[in-house]
Amino acid sequence: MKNPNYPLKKRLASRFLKALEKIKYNMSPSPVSIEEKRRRHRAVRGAAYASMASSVGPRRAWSRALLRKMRERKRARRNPRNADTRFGLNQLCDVVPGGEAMDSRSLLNETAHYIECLVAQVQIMREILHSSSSSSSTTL
Amino acid sequence: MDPELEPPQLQFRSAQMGGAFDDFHGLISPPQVTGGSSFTALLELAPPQAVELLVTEDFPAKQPPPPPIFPTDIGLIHRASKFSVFASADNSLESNAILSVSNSIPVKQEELDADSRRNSSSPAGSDQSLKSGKRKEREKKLKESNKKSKSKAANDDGEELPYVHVRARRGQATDSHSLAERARRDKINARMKLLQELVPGCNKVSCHNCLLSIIVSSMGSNCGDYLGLIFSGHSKRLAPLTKCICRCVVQISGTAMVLDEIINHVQALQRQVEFLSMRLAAVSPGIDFDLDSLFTVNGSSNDNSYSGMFAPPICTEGQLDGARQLQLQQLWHCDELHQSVWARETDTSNFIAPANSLLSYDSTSANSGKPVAPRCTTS
Repeated sequence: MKNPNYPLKKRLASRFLKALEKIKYNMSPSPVSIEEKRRRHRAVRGAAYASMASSVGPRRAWSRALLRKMRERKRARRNPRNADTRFGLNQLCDVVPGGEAMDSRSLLNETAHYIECLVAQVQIMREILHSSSSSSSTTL
Repeated sequence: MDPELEPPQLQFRSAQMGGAFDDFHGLISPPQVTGGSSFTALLELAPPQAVELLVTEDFPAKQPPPPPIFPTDIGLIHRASKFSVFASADNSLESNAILSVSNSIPVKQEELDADSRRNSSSPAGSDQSLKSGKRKEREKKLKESNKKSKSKAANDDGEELPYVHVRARRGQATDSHSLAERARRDKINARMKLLQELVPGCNKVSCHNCLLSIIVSSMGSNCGDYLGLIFSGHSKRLAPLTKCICRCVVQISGTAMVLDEIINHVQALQRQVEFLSMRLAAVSPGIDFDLDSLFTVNGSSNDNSYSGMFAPPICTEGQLDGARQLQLQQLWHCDELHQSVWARETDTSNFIAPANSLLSYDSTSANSGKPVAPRCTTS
């Protein structure tokens, strides 16, 4: 990863960790049902994408689209619906969030940046997992 | 000289679709240079040679240049030999020797290979599907290249190779037109493979960025200054190589395959986010996440050890139920090695538990001064 990405990673990491803490705090220690697990999974995934988008800010079109979707989701949450649209994945359709409204040139630029952030996010999540799992293993 | 040349050439041609693809990637044994950043090492080696390789595209009319001084990288030698083999029969002696050398190198399955396979656009299934996929891509590319006729491409189309060894495959016409057409298509395919090998063979984002810029520029009207504008924003070290790549792509204008690559890459990344979030959600929530500074340190050092973190960690056994873990492990394995269709419900015993990778990670974390005693706060 090139050097200018380093602050991006820091931002990503801090935001994602905060979001994770909030999720963990709100949820029960051990999930009992499948539905609970699914909800947590969705929450974590949403937190991942949300932290990505918020750390990038409104600079990029894909992050703006993601933030828009988040706000819509937040409003929709007031009236809970059954059909929980998969956040960010189904709507992408091979394309970056918010890509329908872009011309090809900017779309590819957006994809480039999106890939960067995705890679950084994946790395962070992996590191979190590894560190948490290794720490738990040392306690055992 | 020529009869000796024919069999290996034939091999390459007939096996071009499926076998050579794997052969290709198998022979890209990453040079044993710095740590895990094999692609950058490859790039450091590559620019002068690759430039020469790529620039000598329009060699047909001119005399074929003397074979460049190859580095000790076998992959490059192999590629260069392929190029010379395809192009003309004049480099037969050198290419023959090089072919024999490269053929004797054992195929190594490295993470690079796994990554490239993972990122390949063609389905990682059987060779047949690979072949059919490749053929479709070829047809698409052919149509695209016919549509976009830039000046350089027109030059390439107009010029005929002085003498090309093309042997007719089964069931194919043998008249001169189709032969020349096939030769041209093979040339295009060879270059596309080179491109693919360079880009999906690594997982550095900057390469994909440059590829995207390449496509943008090729879709745009004229490259020229636009290229400079684009590349100034990306890593400067890659700029000369990517400019050549860009020219290459512009001539070939086979953007369909590259776009597929990009799409697959994005989808793979999203899938990884999904899996990771699932695992994170399953991890016990009592673990204190007060390791923020640790992550930034680890992030900079683990940037290039992407492959090192591939092995599924086995330490979440206590938290996950067994079936779930198997499922996740199998998905992990699939995702990183195959990038094929993943079936959530299959609980096959593809359970690989390499402990050494975890231990290596522990050593790295120990080096960075990580507090071993976690603070398990219970909510």
